[in-house]
Amino acid sequence: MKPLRASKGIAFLLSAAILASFIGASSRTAGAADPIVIGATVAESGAYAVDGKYALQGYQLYVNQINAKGGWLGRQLQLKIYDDASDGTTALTEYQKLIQQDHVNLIVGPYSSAITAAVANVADQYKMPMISPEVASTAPFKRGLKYIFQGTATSDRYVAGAFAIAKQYGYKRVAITGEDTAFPRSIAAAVPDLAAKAGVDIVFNELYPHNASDYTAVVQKIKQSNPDVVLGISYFPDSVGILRALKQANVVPKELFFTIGPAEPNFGKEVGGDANGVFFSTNWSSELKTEGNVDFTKSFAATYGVPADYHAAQNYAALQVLGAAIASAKSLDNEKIRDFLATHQVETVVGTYHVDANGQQVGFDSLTGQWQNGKPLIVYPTKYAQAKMVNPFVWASH
Amino acid sequence: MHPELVVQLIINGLLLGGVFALAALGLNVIFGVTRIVNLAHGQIIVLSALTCAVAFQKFGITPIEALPVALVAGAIIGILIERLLLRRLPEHAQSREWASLLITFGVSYFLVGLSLAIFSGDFRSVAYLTTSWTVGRIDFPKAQVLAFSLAILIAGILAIVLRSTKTGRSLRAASQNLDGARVCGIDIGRMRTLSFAFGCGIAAASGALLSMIYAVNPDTGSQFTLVAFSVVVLGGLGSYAGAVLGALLLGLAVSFVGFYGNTHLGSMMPYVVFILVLLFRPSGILGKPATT
Repeated sequence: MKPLRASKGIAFLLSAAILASFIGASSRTAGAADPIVIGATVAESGAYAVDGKYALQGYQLYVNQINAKGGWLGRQLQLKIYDDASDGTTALTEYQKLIQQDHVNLIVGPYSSAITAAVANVADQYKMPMISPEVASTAPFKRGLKYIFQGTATSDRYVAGAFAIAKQYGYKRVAITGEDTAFPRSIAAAVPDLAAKAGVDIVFNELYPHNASDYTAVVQKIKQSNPDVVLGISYFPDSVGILRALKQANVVPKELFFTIGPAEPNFGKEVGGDANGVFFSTNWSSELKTEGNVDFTKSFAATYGVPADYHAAQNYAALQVLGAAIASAKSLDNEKIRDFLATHQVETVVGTYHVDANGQQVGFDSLTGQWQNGKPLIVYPTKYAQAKMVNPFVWASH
Repeated sequence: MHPELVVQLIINGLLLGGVFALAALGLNVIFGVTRIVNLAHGQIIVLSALTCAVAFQKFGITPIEALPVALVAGAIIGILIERLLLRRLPEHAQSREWASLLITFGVSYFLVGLSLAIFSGDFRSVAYLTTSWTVGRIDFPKAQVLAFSLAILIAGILAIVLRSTKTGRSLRAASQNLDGARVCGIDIGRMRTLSFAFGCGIAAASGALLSMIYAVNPDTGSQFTLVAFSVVVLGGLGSYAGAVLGALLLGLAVSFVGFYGNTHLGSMMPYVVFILVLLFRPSGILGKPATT
């Protein structure tokens, strides 16, 4: 009978802990001098942990900077962040907890399209406006929701560069693969249209499951399709995995493009010389002549000891927009903030925030980068280019 | 259908099987002697792979050079887990198997936390031996060939050690009949420690090679444990030849189903096989039916 007693003990402790947390929450009262609490979840662990870390640092940097300048409405800002472990169900529970139990004043979006899709309805349910800087998928904006706003370039823009390059060099055959989750799916959905406009044939198109580790089978099929362009709609670990498998199978595409994995500054370190020539999409560059970008780039590197990436910039920009909304509303009135977010344009580090009637982004754009000599550089559109693009792709000798 | 393509798929499958086998052998050694499923197995692989990645990027030490160090370091971790934690469980308590599962589960979370603290959540990988040898039109990826060879080598050495040395025979005796072995004067505690040293050492050695094949972060450990467990169940718990054979069959299944079906079905194979084996041949391909 001992194990049973032990489990009763654990159950008792758990309920005591849950009760204690409720008591803690209800004893709080708000006052004018209290900080403004902004709640969100971020993937600090799990598959999206790399990008999630940058997203969180973007929020943190903005809050630190604004607090040094006196905060919003004369009140300091405070972030209340939970780790959603890259899981939508966990994130949903945590947003409900942030609103109902922690009584945060404002909410902002989590990391990744899949997780934003899981939590999007919460904003409307509690009538709390939520600007979401990490949801490139347009699906949540087709639900008729009134309180969620897209704070990133839409997914179709992420691969526009891949087809522009193909058209410029006259490449005709593209093989597409990617992770079978919300963000890559929404990009894959935009591909046929872009391919048709660029006069490119889709010779292979298959997605692989989240957390896949072996890419030899899918790469063998890509090899059989004999493509000029390989387009991976992939995050960090799968970009590395596909790259390795392509090299081992002696597939030499003329253009090798991965959506966001290689946008991470440590991509070059993990794959070595094979990074050179790889194209990627990103929504921000330190070179952009945008509102506060020089200060953001410098402060980020000084604070965290690494260069910023586009996730950090987008999350920072989301708070720039929210700050503008609150300055205009002169209060934390949810309805006034919502109306501002729905109707106004705001200059940010990633460009001009501007949404349509569904809350979908029409202002922010996506850029194409390429790794050259161990460095990620913007190569397209030409007006933002830091370097000329180098083609065709060749593998390193190691 | 091109015959060359089929040959390539067979090679891919066998090499992937070699990788699976390498990941699974350490788990099997520990189970064979102690009847403990070491749930921290994958985390030891990942901890080793992450360390090798940093050693390569910072100091230019290749995973091959790091392999002996990984083997010894893994063995020490194994000894610590057995001596400090598992040794304290009461010998004949019915709850022993459950308690050991919970302990190794706890160790796995400790190692995830430790890896996160040291290496952060970043994915890491070693850009070394990334090319293939090409014979005719068939590609043999170097890193996978190496992993495959090491798996066969380790399995071979284990088989010889277990058959032909006194320590090996004692290990086998301990795995077959605990009380009988003890009556014959075999130090059971020492055998258990030894099996953890072997098992975790092999896990860490495999981590060194797997760092050239996969991008890993501290959260990917449980995937290795799952695949290793499926391989071991398929081959027969405690059977080394069975584990290698099971791994190769699984690799072939993933390669062919992934190509002719799709990657979703391919990724399901370890778990489909796992359930089928439990239903129709619970002792595995080469495992002996359980006797208690």
